[in-house]
Parts: sequence; C-alpha cells; structure tokens
Amino acid sequence: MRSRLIVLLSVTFVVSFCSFAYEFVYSELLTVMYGGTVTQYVITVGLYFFSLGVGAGLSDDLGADRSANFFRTEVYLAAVAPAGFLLIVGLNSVTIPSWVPAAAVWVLARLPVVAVGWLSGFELPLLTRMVQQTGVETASWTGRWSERVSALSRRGLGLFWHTHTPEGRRSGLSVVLALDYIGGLVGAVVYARILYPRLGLVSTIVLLALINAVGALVFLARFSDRWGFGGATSLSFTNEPGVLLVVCVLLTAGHAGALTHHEQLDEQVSGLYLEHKMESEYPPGAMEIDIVEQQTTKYQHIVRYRRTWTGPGQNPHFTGTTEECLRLGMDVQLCESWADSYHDGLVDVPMSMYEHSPDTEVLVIGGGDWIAIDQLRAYNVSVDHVDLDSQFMEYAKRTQFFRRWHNDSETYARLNTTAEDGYAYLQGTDRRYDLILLDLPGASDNDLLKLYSTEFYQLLRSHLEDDGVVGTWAYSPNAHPQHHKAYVNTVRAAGFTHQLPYSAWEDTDSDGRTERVERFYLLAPEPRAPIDTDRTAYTRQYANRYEATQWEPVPRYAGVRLNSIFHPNYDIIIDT
Amino acid sequence: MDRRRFLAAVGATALTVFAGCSSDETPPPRKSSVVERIETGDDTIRIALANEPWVLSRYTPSSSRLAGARIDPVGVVAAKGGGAGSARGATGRAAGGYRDAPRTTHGWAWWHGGGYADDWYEEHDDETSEYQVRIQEIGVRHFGSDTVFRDDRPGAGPVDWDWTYRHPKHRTDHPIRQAGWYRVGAHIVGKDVDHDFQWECIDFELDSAGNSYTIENEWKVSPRI
Repeated sequence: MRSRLIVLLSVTFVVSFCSFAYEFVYSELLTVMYGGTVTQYVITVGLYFFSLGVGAGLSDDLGADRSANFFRTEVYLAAVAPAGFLLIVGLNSVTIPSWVPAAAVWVLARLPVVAVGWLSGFELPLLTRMVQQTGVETASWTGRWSERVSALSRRGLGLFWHTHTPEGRRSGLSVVLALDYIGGLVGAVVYARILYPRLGLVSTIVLLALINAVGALVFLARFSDRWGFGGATSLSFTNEPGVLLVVCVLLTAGHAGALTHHEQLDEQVSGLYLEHKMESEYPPGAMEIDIVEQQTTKYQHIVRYRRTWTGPGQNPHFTGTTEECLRLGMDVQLCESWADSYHDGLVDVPMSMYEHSPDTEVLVIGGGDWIAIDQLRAYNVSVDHVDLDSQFMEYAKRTQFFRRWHNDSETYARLNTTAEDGYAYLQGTDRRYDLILLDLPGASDNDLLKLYSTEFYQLLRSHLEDDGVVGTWAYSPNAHPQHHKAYVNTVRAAGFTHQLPYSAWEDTDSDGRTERVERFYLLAPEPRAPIDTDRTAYTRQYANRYEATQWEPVPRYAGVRLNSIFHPNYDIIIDT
Repeated sequence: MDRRRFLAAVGATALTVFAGCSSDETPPPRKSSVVERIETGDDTIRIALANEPWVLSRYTPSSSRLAGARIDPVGVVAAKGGGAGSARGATGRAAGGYRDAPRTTHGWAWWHGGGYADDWYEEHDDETSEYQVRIQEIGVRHFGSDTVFRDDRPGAGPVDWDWTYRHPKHRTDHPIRQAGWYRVGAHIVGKDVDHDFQWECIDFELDSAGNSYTIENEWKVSPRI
C-alpha cells in the first residue's frame, strides 16, 4: 500500500516537472521563431493554464480504469510533446502559401502548447483519485519531521485563518497539489539553470519526453496485472493492449538513442531549420544554404554559413556563386561581399567629419567582431569599445573568417575594450565622445528593446561632446515602415532632432553598377558639419553619392508611440 | 454544468483568445496619387505623372511648416473584392493574385491592399494628413520573368534601377528593350514640407504581341503608412 502511494506521489512530481518544462521549451522556441519574448511567454503560459483547465474539466469523462488512462496519457505525452516541437520548427522551415491566413498559422503553432496542457490537465485529477483510492494515510509515511513542519505551519496559519488538526491523514488532493506545484517549481529551475543552457531546446524536449515514457513504464510495471510485477491491487489494470506497450518501449528507446547523440541531434535539427529558413528568404530554388559552424554564447547564437547561388541567370547578390556569411540569431551580420563596404559606411563616412588624431574620442557600442575597431585604427583616434558578449569577442579574435578584416585590431594601442552591456556602461561613465558608433544586432529580439529605447538614446545624447554625433545603421523605411516610424519617434523624443541619412555603396555583384549595401543615420541634437567627401578614401571614391547628403530634421509620425523601457512599443521589433 | 455546455464555454473562450492574440494591426499601404497612367506607344513605355501629386502620410511637420499641408485626408482607393481577407492584404503579383486583388481608383491591383485598409483609415483618421509632393526622380527597372516576382519580391520601395530620370516632366517616355516584368518608381519629396516621402512604385508586365507591346497586371506598390 505504502509503496503504491510513494510511486503515485513520485510520478506526480515527475509529470509536473515535465509538464512545466515542456511549456518553457515551447515558449522559448516560439520566441526564437516568431520573436517577442514577453508576448510568447505570456501567451504560452496563458494557453497552458487554459488547456490544463479544459483537461481537468473533461477528466470526469474518462472511465473508471484510472490507472490505464493515466498510463495512456503519459505515452501520448511522450509522443505528442516532441512531435509538437517538430511541428513548430516545420512551420518555420517551409514557405507557407500567401493564401493561408496568418491566424491559421498562429493557431497551428500554438497547438502543441494546448495539446500538452490538455493532456497534463488529465493527470492531476487522475492521480488525486488514485491517491485517495490507496486509502493510505499520508501522514503515516511522511514521518515526524513532516508533522512538526505541519504543526508549525498551522500555528502560522492560525494567526489569520480558522485551522484544525487533521486526524491522521491529509486529503489526497492537498498532497497531490503540493507535489504538483513543487514539481513545477523544480521543473522551472532545472530548465532555466541546467537543461536549456547545457542541452539546448532540442535535447531538452527529447529528455522530457524520455522521462514521461520511462514514467509510463514504471507506472505500468507497478500497476499492470498483465505487464507488471506489483501484484493485484485496487489500482491494477489488466486489459491494456500490447501495442501501447510496444509504442511506449519504442518511444523510450528512440528518445534514449537520440539523447546519446544529443549534440549531433541539436546541430542537425537547428541546422536543418536554419538552412530552410534562410533559403526561404530568396525565391524558391535560388539560393542554397549550408551551415558551416554554429555556436551558442551566453547571449546569442552564432551561425556561419555558405550561400550558393543556384537560381537562373547571373547572381544578383554577390560576385561568383558562393560566399560565406555570419548571422547572430537570424540577423545577418556579415557577408564576404559587403563586409568592407558596410564598415566603410559605419566608420569612414562619419570620420570624414572629424580630425584624424588621438584627440578624437570615439565610443563603439557592439562591434564584437573587431572590424570597426580596425577601421578606426587607420584614423589614429582614441577608442572606447563596449560589447556585452565576451565569448563572441574571443571567438571573433581567433577565427580566420574575422581576422582577415579585423587584422588583430584588439592590439590597437589607443583601444580600451570593456565587456559590458552598453546601457550599463553609459550609466556608469562620465566620459563624453565626439563620435558614438552603434554596431548592434538588429531589433529582432525583446532583449534588445532597451538599446532601441528613448532612455538609451537620452544616455547617448548626454555622453556626446558639444559637436558630437551618433552613427548607426538602420532598417529600410520601405521594408520595415512600422519599425522605422517607431524608431524615429523614439530618437526624436530623446532629443536627436536632426539626422543625416546616407548609405554605403559598392558593386557587390561585379555587374558594373553600384548597389546600396546598407543604410545609416548620423543623429545629433543640432545640425552638424556635412560629410566632407575629400576627407576619407571611401567618401572620395563615392563622392557623387555623398555630395548631396545633408542634415535634415528628424521626422515625427502621428499615432506612433515611442519605445520606452517601461512602456515598450513592440512595433520596433523586427520579425525575422 | 453538463459536458456540452462546458465544451461550448471552453470553445467560445478559446476562439476569443485566439482571435485576440492573432489579430494583426499592421497598417495598410499609404494612399497616393503620383503616377497617373502607364501605357505603351511607339516602342516606349509612357509614364504619365499626376498634375498635382499627393501622398497620405502619418508624418507630422513642426508647426511652422504646416502651412502647405492639407490636413483632410482624401481617399482615392476603393478596395473591392474579397481577394485579400487577411490583414496582410493582397499579394502574389506573379502568381495569379492580380485577378482577385482589390483595386485602386486607377484600376491597378493594390499590393497589400484589402478590406482591412478602409477600417484602418477610418480608425486612424486623425493621424493621417495629405501632402502635396513633387517628383524628384523616376526609376525604371526591368526584372524579366515571373520567377523573380514570385513570393512578393521585391517589396515596396526603390530597387536597383536600370534607368533613372531626374526632375521628370509631366510625361516620361522610356524606350522598350524587352518584354517581362517592370517596376516604375517615383521618388517623392514634400512640396511644402521638408520631408522625403520615399518612393511610390508601379509593377507591371510588358507583353509582346507581334511588333507591339501591351501592359498587363499592373500593381500599385506603396509602403505601409
């Protein structure tokens, strides 16, 4: 009797652990796929609790053979949870026809959340009734220490509520609920501190499904008359078909096998997804993507890949048919065809407005690839460099892909590098700069909302010299109109009332025509000196592109809220 | 509560939640009158520009610059048909989407237009203003076959133009060299306000029939307002 109770309560803890952890995996996966951390986590948790309620509500309709139904539920969970994961990945790996309503895709992508919540909703009522059915007094095995804790708790509760001393036993519901919530807490902590950082999403969902499958087998071994060895009891079930046992064993073996090669599994699934996702950015069949290397730092996912033109006619994107690129998450950071011209635009164009001497103080926020530093070294200016991700900075230092551009610029004598959040750095320093360059990843992640906020731009402004300028790359107002409008309203509210928009140019595909590589803004509280096309080699080369550029007022758009840390405008986030 | 009522209540709640969470507030393309007509004649593409071009925008000039802007928005686009029920609007320029797409008053298919646009403009009436603009430059790009246009590419805005015409007059004639998909874009800037309103574009297919050419499948491609 007592061993049955222990098995049931242990199973309660384990299934709750898995159930919560599944939802965290889905939340993070949906965030990776669709962006918007807060939105995805909030909606996932909301849907999860809703589905738990539906499952619990429908549990009365399950038959009296509770043990058999519980076993089935665990087998279904072990199959459905990883399948749901693959469904979400699949939805983001294929090109969905434009006639499919966005709402349908939205619903499909949340079905796994609902399915797991619904199945988990069955678990608690079933377990509660089974615990009650054992007839064991829970107090009899929890021991004296537990009674002391209970007595102490009662004293505390007695200050605010009417209490009584239970005679010998607690209700099955209270014990099962307690273990359920404890399992949920442990699931959350273990997921956040161990599973996600060490195994990643793919291996975590497989591990959780394995735990569910093993839990089902343990349950079967203890309570099945036909397959188990626990002997006949009031909870025994007898007629469970063999096929379900076979499925459960296969799931257990399959998940365990996959976990033994979890690194390859993780690499293959994420590689497959990333390759499909990137290929879908081009017309069908036009570009083939091959992942060269993936690494995950504390802050971002580094992906190096080769893109090969397989479309009809001449490659319109770059010279030749293949080149190597880098992304952080899904944001393109560098491609061989335009790495130089992007940094020319970021550094050489604004440097046409300043003295090329150590007296010119420059702050670079971001730029962990060190390439902008190399460009600044050529002007002999003093540079403070702040980037959050020291792991990425180390990786870029020693990887040949970057070294050909940064030329070991970390050794530059007038460079002072700090591994810190740019926002925190500005809060902690009184230094003022002639030029602040933002070489940041795209606004595709809620974690970066802060660096696109009014508060951040106010900090930037307060760290500018009287003639200082902030330089940054920018999204196209045509391709991302909502982001653009929210962004300009944000910087304007921070006091940057004037802008000088310009672009970096290069003939990236050797077709004899100059293409726009990237858009940039110079921002300042007042109009500054114009771009001096004689001052740097790059502005001399493309003088005709920069002669007409001029400072203009930063526009303001009606009905568009600015983005503030405490009142974020999620329109500023780009969906990748 | 019996099972049927329970399921009905659950279903209604779920539908409400799904509808709320998946609703798309994306603004529609802006309305404008910049390119009046595109036609062929004497082996040229004739690009006729509007006499008094204007654009609807959420741009708000500083008060001293307001004089030239007409504040009352004037709708020129009538979104017809149900080809674009979702908030994302009509797409599929080279994939048979033209026939069902909503139309502008010029009769062009309206890229990313749809029934949702009228609702949006009605709800945000106080945020939009009509601005007189001048056309600084015309760009013409020849893309070629349908393949390039599949999957909504290219989006709104300028492309890598094959030919440009600075400070165009009322009509610009562009010599035809080959059939296929084209984009004609007009770079517009404020006439009375100091603002770059970017580009208004028309995509169309030039079909050769013997020695002559005809224009088909015209889409008006504007950035979202």
